[in-house]
This record gives sequence, C-alpha cells and structure tokens, in this order.
Amino acid sequence: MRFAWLPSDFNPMLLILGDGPQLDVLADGLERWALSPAEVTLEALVTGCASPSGTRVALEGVDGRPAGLRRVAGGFAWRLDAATARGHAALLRALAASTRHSGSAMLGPEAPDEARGLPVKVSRGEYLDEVLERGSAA
Amino acid sequence: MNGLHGLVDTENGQVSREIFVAPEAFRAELEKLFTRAWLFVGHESQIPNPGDFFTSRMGEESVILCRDKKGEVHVFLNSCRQRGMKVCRYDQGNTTLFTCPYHAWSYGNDGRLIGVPLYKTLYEGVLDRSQMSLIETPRLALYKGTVWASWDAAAPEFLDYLGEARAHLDLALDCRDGRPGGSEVIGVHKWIFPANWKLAAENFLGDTYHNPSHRSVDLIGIGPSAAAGVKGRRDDQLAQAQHVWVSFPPGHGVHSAIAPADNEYVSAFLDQPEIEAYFRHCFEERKRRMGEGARLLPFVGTIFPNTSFHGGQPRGLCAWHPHGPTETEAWRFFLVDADAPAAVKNFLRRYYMRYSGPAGMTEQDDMENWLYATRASTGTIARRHPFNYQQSLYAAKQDDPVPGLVSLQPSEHMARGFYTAWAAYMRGDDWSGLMGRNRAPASLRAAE
Repeated sequence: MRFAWLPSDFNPMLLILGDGPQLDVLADGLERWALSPAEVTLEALVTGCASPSGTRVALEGVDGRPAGLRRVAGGFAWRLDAATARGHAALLRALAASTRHSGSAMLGPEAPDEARGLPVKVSRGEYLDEVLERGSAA
Repeated sequence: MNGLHGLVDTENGQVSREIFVAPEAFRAELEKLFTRAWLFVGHESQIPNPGDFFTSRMGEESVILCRDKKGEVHVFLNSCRQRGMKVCRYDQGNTTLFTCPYHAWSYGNDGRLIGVPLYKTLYEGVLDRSQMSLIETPRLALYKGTVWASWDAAAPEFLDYLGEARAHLDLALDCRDGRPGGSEVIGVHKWIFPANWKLAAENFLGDTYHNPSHRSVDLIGIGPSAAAGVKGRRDDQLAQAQHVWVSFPPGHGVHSAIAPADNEYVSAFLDQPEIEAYFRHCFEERKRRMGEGARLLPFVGTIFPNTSFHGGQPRGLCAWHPHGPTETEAWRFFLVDADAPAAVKNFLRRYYMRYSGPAGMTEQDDMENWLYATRASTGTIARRHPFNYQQSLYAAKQDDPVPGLVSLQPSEHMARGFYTAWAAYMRGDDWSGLMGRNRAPASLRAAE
C-alpha cells in the first residue's frame, strides 16, 4: 500500500492506493487502532506501507481538537475517534471485496472542509502508481 | 464563402468589410489561421513553480499553460479526452492533477492520463491510457519570459517567425536598463467588446492616424506626469526621436522611434521623484549597455495575428481573442521589471489601468471606434463598400533606416502587410508563403 499528499489549490487530497488484500490490512489496522487510539504513523500501522513522496501521516485521537486530516508541522495528523475509524474500516472492507476490481472511497470530506478536515481518498485499480510520485511531503 | 483571400486587395489598398463581419470569414480564420500561426499564451512569471497553471486561449479554444513537476512548460487543450469537458475551470493556481468534473478522469500536469474511475472494472485491456493524454500543442516557444504556441507541427521556429520584428518586441520584454528579458506580469485584465478582433490588432500595428479620437484624453492628461500639468496620454519621451512605421513579411507591424545621436534622457514621471530617478538610471544604464542600439525606442506593435504590445508608457502585451465575427475578448498582460522597486511597480500598475483595459481612458476611445466600425459595417449597403488602406501607399522603403519595410511618415503599409499575410492563410499557403518569402511588398511593387 502506498500513499501521498497531492497538493492542489482546488482538489487537494491524501491519496492511498492498494489492492484488495492491502486495503483489508489497512481496515484491520484501523479496527485495531480503534481499540486503543494512540499516535501512530501510517507506516507503523500497516506493514509495508510507504509514501514515495515522503508524506508523513500520523493517526491521532481527537482529544477535543478538530477532527479529520489536518496539516501539522512536518506532515499531517489524521485525527479520528474510534467510531469513525471503524466506519472507515467498513468502507475499506467493501472496497476490498474480491468481487470488486476497482473503485474508491472517501474517508472524510470530498473537498477541504473547515469542520471535517482535508480529503482522504482510498482507491484501487484506478490510478497509475506514478501518481504518488507527483505528490509532496506536506 | 469561397475565395476569402480575394476580399483583400493590398495592391490598391482596399479590404472588404466582409472579413470583419461575415461568419464564414470568422470560421475560416479559426480553421486556417489560428490553427497555424504562433500565438501568445502567457508569461512564465505567471507559472513560476511546478504545478502552477494559467488558463489561456488559442483562437476560441481554452488551453492550459502549466509547469509540470520537473519544471517543464506545457500548453494543453483544456478538454477531457472522454467527453470534452473542461478539465480546468479556474483562471490560475497550482495543482497536481487536473480532474475532469464530468467523469473524473485525472491528468497530471504533464498531460498524462493517470486516473480513471473504475479503470480495472470498466476499461482494462481496452483503454490505452498512454494514448489519452491531454492534447498538447506540437510547438511551444519560451522567449524572454513570454510563452508562445502553435498547433501546426510544421510551423517555423518562433524566432524565424518573429524575424526582424524581434528587436521591437524586445523593447517591451527587456528590462528598462537594457538587460535582456527580466519582465514579469503584474496583472491581467480580461474583457469582451463587440468588435472584430482584427480592428484591434491592426490599430496597434501603428495606426498613428487615429490620434484625433483621443482628443478628450489628451486634453485631460492621464500620463505619469499629469499631476504636474503635463497633458496627453503619456509623457512625450519620443519628442526628439525619428518615428518609424515598419512592416514585416509574416504580417507583423510596429511603430517605433529612433532617438537622436546624442540620445539624451527626456524627463518623465515629473510627479514622482523616486520613479523619475529609477527610469533615469535605467535609461543611462541601457545606453551604457547597448550603445547605438539603445537609440531604438518603443511605442507599439502587433505580432501577427493577434498579439499587440506597448513598449514603454504603458508597457504590456495584449491578446485579441476571437469570440465571434463581431465580438472579441481582450486580455491585457501588464509588464514591469521583475526586480523594480515596489513603489515603481505600484505606480506603473495604476498608470497602466488609467490608460489601458476596460477602464482605461485611452482604450475606451479605441474600443468606441472599433465597435462602431464593426456595427456600421454589418449592413447590406455598407458591406458593398470596402475599407480604404491607401495611406502612404508609395512611401515605404526597404531596410532604411531599420530592417523591414519602413515609412518615416504615418502609414497603413503595416496594415496592408497584415492583410496580405491574412490572405495567405486564407489561401492555405505553405509556410514559405505565410512567411512572405519571395513576396515583394505591395508598396515596393507599386513604387517601381
């Protein structure tokens, strides 16, 4: 599984690409994390996960702060509560189903949103992998 | 309408009004001219960083000028390969992807199709993404910050296309102190006016004869020294210079001037000592750098077909985008030295807006002429009577005192050259013909 931040004045997003089994592993990770929310990077949450553009994303509990994907020094904080993490995992399970060959899911808003944070898109079988090399660290 | 080129008789100085109002002529221009000629698209200062883009136009079509992640500049047709929707509906900005709003095909800023929703389910084994990149202009030229493109792969090199007009365009693009290039766009004005695009383009070939239509502005005084009581549209920095009106075979035309041998600074910007000091310094520095070459002074010109420039007061480029036979969208790009002091830039920005653009007092005068000329030429009776272009029909000489076909008095030979080139495009000439090779200028033939 690979990911990158794709900057844009109009449609920025954190794009996560993977095949079905990889998305299942991400869903597993989110469900595990929901049991005990603590700061952890995406790379640590999912074995083999990497960002070709050096984007750093850390999952964090909300702890009264604005939820969703947020810019922080050196990268991004993806602040979730347990219920939201489980909801994202459910979307990922559906996307990872063996009956599907391609598709995508938005884990958050479609566009930057003051209340809900920045867009996170998970996709399989839609983008060329090289798209992630066009991303930036922050 | 067949034989559009027959509507232009530059030997005798007559051009049919049909080419300014007829839908058939407009359609032919889009197909035969704007798909071949080099067109101004924008300025590199508008896209300094990877991912920057500026949505521009070529003819009536939207294009995206952008800089990819590697820093290379591209010009793409702003139209998705699937159903044609504009993939970019913003004027300018920065982005990694251009995602079509219709079905969300996504293109990189190098034009490559890199995202297709449900690709593996719906398209795998059928759609070759490598063949579905955004359509890119086959020819692109970067010249002193300006970006030019042509849809014709066979077009000559841009500098060959510019030819001897290059020295005059340089007067607008180079730093005021003579360093080559170094300009930046300080702002763009866009507006639509109800006139044919060629009336605007030919006005800036050097139609000095229309000065009476600016009488009211001249009486008020809107120039940089207006508050000091100087009347006119600008400070008369060319007062001591020999004016030259020059035509070039590809259809370009300019009105420039040659300073006297002593080439002394003519005071300007009298209201603003700081601005005056900057330009006086630049003038002396330019003289030191360029020597005799510094005697060539800028005024106006048009690079065929639809890019006009002001070289001094004001200073900028204007693209006259064709909207329809009787409608034009003007885009004025105002230029300053990129490293000029902020006070200079701000002063010039205000002066440029006072002079040019939809609120510019001089441009309003011009537009009134163009729109009434267009409107008064649409009638059945009016269209039977061609426009007259006989001014100074025998007055031009070749390469004296500057390269090109030159008149030392106000002249319409630049317009005759412009429409001679226009007719060559309408005939579908090859590039040798479009460049005017082996074509004796009509003014010279008539004088022989």
